[in-house]
Amino acid sequence: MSTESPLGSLPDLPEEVRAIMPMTPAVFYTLFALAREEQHGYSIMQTVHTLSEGAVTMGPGTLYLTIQRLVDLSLAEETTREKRPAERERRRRFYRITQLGRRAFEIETARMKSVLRQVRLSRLRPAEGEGQ
Amino acid sequence: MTSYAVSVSKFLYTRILRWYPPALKSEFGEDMAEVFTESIEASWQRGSWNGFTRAWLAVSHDLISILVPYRIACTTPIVLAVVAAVLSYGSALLAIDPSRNCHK
Repeated sequence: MSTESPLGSLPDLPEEVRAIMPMTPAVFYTLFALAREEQHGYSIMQTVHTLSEGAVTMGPGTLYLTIQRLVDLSLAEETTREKRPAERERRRRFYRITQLGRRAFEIETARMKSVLRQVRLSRLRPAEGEGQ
Repeated sequence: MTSYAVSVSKFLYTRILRWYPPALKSEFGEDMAEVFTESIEASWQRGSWNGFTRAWLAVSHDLISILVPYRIACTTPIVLAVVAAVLSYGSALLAIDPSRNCHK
């Protein structure tokens, strides 16, 4: 399968990042959650469930394997804990998206938009405004 | 829902955690246990059996997608070594010409 995106041949992305595209739902929704704000594990899990409208439910193992992968690929990074006021918040590990992660996320969403456009053009689903 | 269910769930999950790949467990074991505990406790506070079930279903999915492949990958070299040993022993037996030992 070709990994070419609608934005070109992903020239500014490292080879390892290109290798994970198209992204799995776990990777995509985790990046999506982190693109909104920096979060800790449980919060990411909840946000992914909400953003996917219940379609993606990650267990703790899948969640942290995904986070580990994102950190290894420099798509996300752990943030410092000193600023956190509450003791529990200080114990938690927070993660945020990196610039590279944001770029990969944008490319993936552009790819999805392109797919949707092709589906609409193929008349496989009513275009917006039809059937009202 | 009773807190007994929460305690049992936490206990079971700490047991299950032992089976995860050591690299993942050593780096994120405590975080994983905390995330699971939070999911279970939040469901208990809401009185939501759905959330409780969902947390355990997610763990079941982890078991299938992470633990099973990991355990298979761990045991495959051993199984292959046993198969190779059996095959080499078998081929050695077949290579022995029985007529050489036959003194008539």
